[in-house]
Amino acid sequence: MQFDDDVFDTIERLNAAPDDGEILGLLRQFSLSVGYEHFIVSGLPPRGVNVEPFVLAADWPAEWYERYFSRDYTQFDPVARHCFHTTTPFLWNEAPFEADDAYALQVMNEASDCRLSDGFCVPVHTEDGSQGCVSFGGTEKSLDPNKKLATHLVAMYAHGRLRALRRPYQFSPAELTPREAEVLRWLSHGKTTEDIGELLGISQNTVFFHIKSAGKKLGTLNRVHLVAEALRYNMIAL
Amino acid sequence: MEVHAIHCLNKHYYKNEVEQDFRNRHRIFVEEKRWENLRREDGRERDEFDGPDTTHLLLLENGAVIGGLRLTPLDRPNLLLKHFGNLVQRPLPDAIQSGADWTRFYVTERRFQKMGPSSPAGALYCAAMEYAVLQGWTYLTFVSKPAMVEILVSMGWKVTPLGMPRLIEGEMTLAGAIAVDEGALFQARMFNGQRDSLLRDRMVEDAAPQWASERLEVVH
Repeated sequence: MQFDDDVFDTIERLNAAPDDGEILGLLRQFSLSVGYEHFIVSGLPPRGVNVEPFVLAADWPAEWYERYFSRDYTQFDPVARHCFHTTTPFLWNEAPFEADDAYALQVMNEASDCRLSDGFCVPVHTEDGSQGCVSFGGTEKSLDPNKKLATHLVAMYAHGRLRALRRPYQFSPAELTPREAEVLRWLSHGKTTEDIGELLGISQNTVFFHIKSAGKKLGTLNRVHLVAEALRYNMIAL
Repeated sequence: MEVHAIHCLNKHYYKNEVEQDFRNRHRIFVEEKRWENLRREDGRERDEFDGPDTTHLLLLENGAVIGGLRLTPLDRPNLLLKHFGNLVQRPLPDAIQSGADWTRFYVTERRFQKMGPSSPAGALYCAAMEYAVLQGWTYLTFVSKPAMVEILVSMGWKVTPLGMPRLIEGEMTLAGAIAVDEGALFQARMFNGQRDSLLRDRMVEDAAPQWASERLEVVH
C-alpha cells in the first residue's frame, strides 16, 4: 500500500505543479519507482509531420533523442504507430509489426543499443481528436498489474497538466484569415517563403506579412511554434 | 447553445426535452457504448437516480437536446456510492453534504474542431461547474475512463482520484472528485471560449421575463 500512497502523493503534486520543471522531476521519480530510467511525453501527429514540436517533456538518452528526431523515427516506430490503434496501455514488446518490416526492426534494435530495450507506453486521445502518448523506457521487461494501473493514471495526469500549462491564458484565439491558413498549410508541408510565394502567386513580402500576422494572433515565437499551435487548434487541416 | 438546469420544481416546462434526453441516452449508452444492463424495451434509458433529487443539465441547440449530464447530491441515494463504492478507497475531499455525483455525461455528436464556443462538451463542462458553484457544492464525483482525467486536468481542473482504476466489464474505470470553485469555472470558460453563463431556466423566464432578460445582459 506504500506504493499506492506514493502514487496518490505524486498525483497531488502533479495537480499543483506550477511549471514543466516540477512535472519533469515528479515523472523522473515515478518512472524510477516502476523500474524505468527514461520517459517521454509527446503529441503524435499523423505520418509525414515532424513530431519534435509536439514533445511536451522528455528524459530520453540524449543520443537516442537526437537520432530519433533527426531520422524521423516516429514514422516507423511500432510503439508510436500502435498508439493510433488502442486506448489500452501496452508493453513495448506487445506493439505489433510485420516480421519483414526492416525499418521497425531497426528502430527497436537501435533503441536496445541505447539501453531502451523495453518499456511501457500509455496512449492518450485528447478531446479534440488529436493523439499523444506517455512512454516509459529502460530495460524492465514486465510490469505488475498494479504498477500498470498506477503508470496509466500518472501518465494521464502528467499529460493533462502539461497541456494545461500550455493553454494560452486568453479567450479563444483570433480567427486566421483564409489566406493566412493557406500559407500555414504550405508551411506545414515544409515549403519555404519563396516556394509559397510561387505557389500562391504572391510576393515573398506578402508571404512574410501573412506569417507574421498569424504569429501575432497565436502569440508564437517562430515558424515551428506557429505551425504547431495552428495544428493544435485545428486551424489548419493536415 | 443553451444549457437548461431541470429539477423537480421546473420539470413540467421540459417534458419534451426530458423525453429526448432519455432516448439520446439509450442510443448512446446502450446502442453505441453497449452498456447492456441499461437496455430497455421502450428505448428510453432511465433509472432510479432520475428522481426528484437529481438535476439534469441539458444542452439545447435549435430545440434539440444535443448533450446532457446528471448531478445527484451525495447525501441522497446516488450511483457512485450505491454501485461503484468499490472504486472509492480514499476519503471524499469534503463532507458528504458538500458534494454531488456527476453521471450520464454525453454529447450526441463529437465535433473534432478547434476549442471554442462551438464545442458541445465544452459548454457542458462550463455549465456543470457553474451550477455546482451556485449550489455551494465544493466537489463533484464521477466514474469514468482514465482518459477523462486527462481532459479535465488539461482544462486546469483539480481532479483527485478516489482510488486506483479497476477493470470493470473490460474497461479501465476510475472514480474521481473534481474540486469546485470559481477558479475552475473561470478556467473552463477561458479554455472553451465561453465568456458568459449558458445556464437558463424557463420557469424563471416565464415568471419574470423582463427581469430575466435584464439579468442576462448584466451578469457575466
